[in-house]
Amino acid sequence: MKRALLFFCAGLAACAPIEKTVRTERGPLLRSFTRPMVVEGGLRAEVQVAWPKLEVQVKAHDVCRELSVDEYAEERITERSAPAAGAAFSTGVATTLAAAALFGISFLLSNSPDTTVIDTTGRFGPPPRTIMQGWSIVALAIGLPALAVGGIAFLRTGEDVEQMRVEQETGQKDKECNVRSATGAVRFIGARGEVAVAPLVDGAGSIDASVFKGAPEDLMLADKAITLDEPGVLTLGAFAACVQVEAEGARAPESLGDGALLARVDRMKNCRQVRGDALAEPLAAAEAEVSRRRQTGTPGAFAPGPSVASFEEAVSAYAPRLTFKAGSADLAKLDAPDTLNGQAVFMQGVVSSGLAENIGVLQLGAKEVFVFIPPKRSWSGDFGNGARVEAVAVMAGWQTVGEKTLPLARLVWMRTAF
Amino acid sequence: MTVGHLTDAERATVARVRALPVFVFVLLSCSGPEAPDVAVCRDIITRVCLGPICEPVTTKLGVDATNCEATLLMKSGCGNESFAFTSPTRAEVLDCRVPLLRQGSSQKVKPSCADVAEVFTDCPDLVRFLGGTR
Repeated sequence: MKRALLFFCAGLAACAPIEKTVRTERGPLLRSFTRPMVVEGGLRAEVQVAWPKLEVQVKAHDVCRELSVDEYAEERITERSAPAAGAAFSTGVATTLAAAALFGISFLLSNSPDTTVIDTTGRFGPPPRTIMQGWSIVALAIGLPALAVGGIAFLRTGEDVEQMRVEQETGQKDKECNVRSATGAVRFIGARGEVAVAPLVDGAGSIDASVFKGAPEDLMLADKAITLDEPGVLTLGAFAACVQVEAEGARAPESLGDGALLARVDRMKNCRQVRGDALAEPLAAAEAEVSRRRQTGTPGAFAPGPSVASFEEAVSAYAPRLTFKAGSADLAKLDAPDTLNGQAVFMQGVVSSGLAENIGVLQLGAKEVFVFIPPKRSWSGDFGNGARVEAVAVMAGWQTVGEKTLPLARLVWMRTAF
Repeated sequence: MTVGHLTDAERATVARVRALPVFVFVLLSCSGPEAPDVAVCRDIITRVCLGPICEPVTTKLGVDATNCEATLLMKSGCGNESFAFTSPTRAEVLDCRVPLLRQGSSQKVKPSCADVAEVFTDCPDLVRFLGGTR
């Protein structure tokens, strides 16, 4: 019986759905404090060069962090409501009262059976009192469950308040701490991967420039990057330039192409920061060659090609394979003129400026090239700014004049066109 | 008398027995006490004699509208307040009476002549009891 009653109540509870709403209310600030913590840090290095040695000192460190924390009081309020509770309860009350009323009224009615009716089993019709009491039971059967559903729903509604403390991080300060000498081996990373390795003793290592298989750009300890300060970056860059200069050997400046010559001059200037005046003489020679070429052009540039007497003869003799003019597909190759060195080209464009006596700029669609006009040219004519010309030329890498660096084309023949 | 604790099965039985009166009351609210034999007998005669009288009544019982109820009460003995069914029995009479209630259980509702004919065909004992011929 008790079990049946339990199941009955559980069923009634299922008929009384409860809506639950949870809201959080932030209370006053209780306190503010800082929470120290140590997190994984990184690696720093200092580099010094005593040519040909590169000395590196690597320090590992942690990051000591101070978190600023505000602690607040917070209330989590759970509200339970049953929208159907009122309707169920009122229905239950009304129907139960009606049942009681019907039951009471039934005693005012006759208890004599209805003798005008005999059913198929031979029984008279029920007395009016019994009929009324039967209806009162029906009403009670509706009213009591509704009353129970409403009552249970009312009992389950309410509000629970859970008080707690919550933290909110408002800021953090980081500083390096626990500085210590790193152990392991420093890996020097170049453009194509590892170029040298230097083992560390008490965080310090030394390596000779001759060991390097390429110019170093970054330092790593195992798989962790090592951070260099700004002077360290400059020193490593200068050392890398020296490594490249040494790797190139002692070629005469005259034997270098324009691009290679300019790059060598840059590297020598950079290397001078760590080697001082040791490169003063070869640097001066290279700079003198650069200066001379700006005025007279690259010696021997025309030597491989035959002398020509007309534009048609230039086309025939040099057989240009590339065409540079507005809209031509070959124009994109001007982005890498070093790969075109010595190739004959046909150009059609507009003279945009004459920068020096024998250097001018030719506009070829969206591209510009320097054109070098040999001192002893075979053609005649004056090509001022805006002149439309066509020319046969030989490409010669990059050329820098003033602040402008453009591909350089050495003219074989040029004439007015289109 | 045995004193002791009830088992779970016994407790369930007790619970069912306690719930029985409510169940019986609900059932009883649909019908009243058992009608005496004389009331059942008069009910049949009243229904058969409700006018206009059906053709089987006149042919098989030999009565008409003017003397139907008085004649049948006399022939069957139902005029006596202490009447009780013997042959046919009360159960047989109640079974035979069922077609007469198809139009309604109230005595004021006249049964159809087809139902009356069905009763007379299926229940020759009832016809003989009412003083008629088979």
